[in-house]
Amino acid sequence: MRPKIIPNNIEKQLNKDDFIVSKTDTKGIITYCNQIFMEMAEYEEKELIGVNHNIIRHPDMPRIAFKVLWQMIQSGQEFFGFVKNLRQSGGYYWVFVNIMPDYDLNGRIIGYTSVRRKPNPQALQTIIPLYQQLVSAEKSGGMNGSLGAVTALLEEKNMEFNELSIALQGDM
Amino acid sequence: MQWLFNRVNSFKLVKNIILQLLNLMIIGFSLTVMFFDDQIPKNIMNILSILTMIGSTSLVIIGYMALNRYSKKIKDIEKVALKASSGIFHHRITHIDKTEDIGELSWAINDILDQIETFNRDMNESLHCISGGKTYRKMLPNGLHGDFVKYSKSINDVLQKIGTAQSKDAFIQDILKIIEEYKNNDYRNQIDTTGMQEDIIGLANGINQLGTSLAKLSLENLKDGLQLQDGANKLAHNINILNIASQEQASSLNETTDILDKITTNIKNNTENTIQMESYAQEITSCASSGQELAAKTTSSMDAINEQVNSINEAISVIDQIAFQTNILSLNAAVEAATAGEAGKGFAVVAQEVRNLASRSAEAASEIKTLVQTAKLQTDEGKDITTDMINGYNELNTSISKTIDSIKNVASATKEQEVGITQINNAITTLDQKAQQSVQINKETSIISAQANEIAQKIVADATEKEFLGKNSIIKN
Repeated sequence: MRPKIIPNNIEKQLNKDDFIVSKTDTKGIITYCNQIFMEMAEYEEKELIGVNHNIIRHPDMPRIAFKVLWQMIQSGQEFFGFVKNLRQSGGYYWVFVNIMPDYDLNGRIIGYTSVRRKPNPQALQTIIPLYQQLVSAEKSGGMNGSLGAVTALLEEKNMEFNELSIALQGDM
Repeated sequence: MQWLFNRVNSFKLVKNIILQLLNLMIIGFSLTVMFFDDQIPKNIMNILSILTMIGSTSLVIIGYMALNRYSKKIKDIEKVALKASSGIFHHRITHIDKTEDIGELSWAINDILDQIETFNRDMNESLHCISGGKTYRKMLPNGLHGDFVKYSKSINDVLQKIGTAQSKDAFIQDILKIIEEYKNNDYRNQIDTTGMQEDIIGLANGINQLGTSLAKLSLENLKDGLQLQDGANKLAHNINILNIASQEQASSLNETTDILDKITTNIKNNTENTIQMESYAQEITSCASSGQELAAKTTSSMDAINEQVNSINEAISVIDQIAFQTNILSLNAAVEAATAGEAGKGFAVVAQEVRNLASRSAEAASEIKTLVQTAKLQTDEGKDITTDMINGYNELNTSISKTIDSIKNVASATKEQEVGITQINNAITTLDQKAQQSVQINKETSIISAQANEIAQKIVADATEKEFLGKNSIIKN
């Protein structure tokens, strides 16, 4: 058992010219991570390989985001979204994440590859209060509450989830 | 031990340490042999030699183990490289020790694979999306390096162009759809120009303006048509009222003309009657004058009668006296006769008869006197009457004069009436003509109103066939 990390407000920003790459198996167990990942998350490679990807999950993240993420990638779609990740020291970093399934030669999903880039700061101004709302909706009404809010938002914007994420990210 | 094992993982470190240690051992052993060969007992030398041999053998074994690990790592790298060379890029090298040369190499290979795989997948997804019409998916050059950034941007330019072409095509389809709607007289919809390319936005705006104008025109047409229809209906209604009124007017005018004819006849009769009345009055005046003269003559006749009566009275007095004297004479004769005896007897009878005659004469005279007096009274009365008559005639004359004046007044009034009536007649004739004209105009207006109604209905029907905003509210109203 790893000791529980107490989150703090120290932010680490991802370099615009870098991206974090990680791979997991179909259950979310990390099979590969690049050096930027290790630097941002503050772990050694051997501390990450074989560990569930939620090692870097931040408590400020609404659960609905991961539910949507898993639904999409398990059905073979790619996923775009904004994620706040937890560093080992308790700090955090925001990423604009793109996850795609990996296929074997028979076309079966054998895992997922995640590429995380520096998010557009303007997008975060929208995302941060939105996630706060979703988290509080989940606290009072569970995941149905936040799912309703996300669905309503997408209907109002008349956009798909990825379309909205990409639109928010803009040309960075 | 764990520390040592971890270190051993690093081939570079192990290799260096082993080489250093071997070097140290060889140099140390050589120097020991060189300088202390005579002073050191042989057995200690032997022990040193054995230790050196054991040490160097251990180091060689450790080095061999490290070399083994190294070659295993190389195998891993080779495996990943072979996969990549066969086009499978999702394998990576893991469990890397950065302190090794091979560690750096491994990370470099991983980074290369990350770049290639990310670029490939990004391209694949972007192309897949654009072929499905999703233009929002683009290459993400952030994090890619060198040529990949350049290629990503180039691909994005192409995607942009494809997206624009797709979107333009979609917009052109939209435009064609709206044009088709306009062709079918449905002007309700407009082309949504949100996000439209600049080179076709002018066209779309033009078509939208055309649609707006057509809708406005149709709306105005419908409004005008309905208004015209309403007007035509009101006109027809009013023409009907006018027609009835004109007909009533015409018949009233006819009646009025009849009545006026009668009045004219009456007035003409009146004029004639007045003229006759005037001549009658003149006749009456002359009659009255004759009457007056006759009455005057009667008065003078009465006076003459009175004179004659007086003469009669005088004559009667003479007769009376004669009768009286006769009576006396007869008496004397009787006396004479009585004295004459027998011879006088016959004379006595004559004397008696004379006496009777005298008495009868006296009586007759008296009667005449009474008669004459009565006659005198009556003539006096007659005279009074004629005087009254003369006065009456005078009054009559005055009255007749007044009557004549009145008749003259009546005559001139009647003349004026006649002139008035003639004027009224003329006016009525004009009115009648106008009424006839009105009826004619009404007929013509009625035809025009029917035509106007027909036109209005056509306009309304034409406008109703078209579809445009505000149509239903106008029709409901």
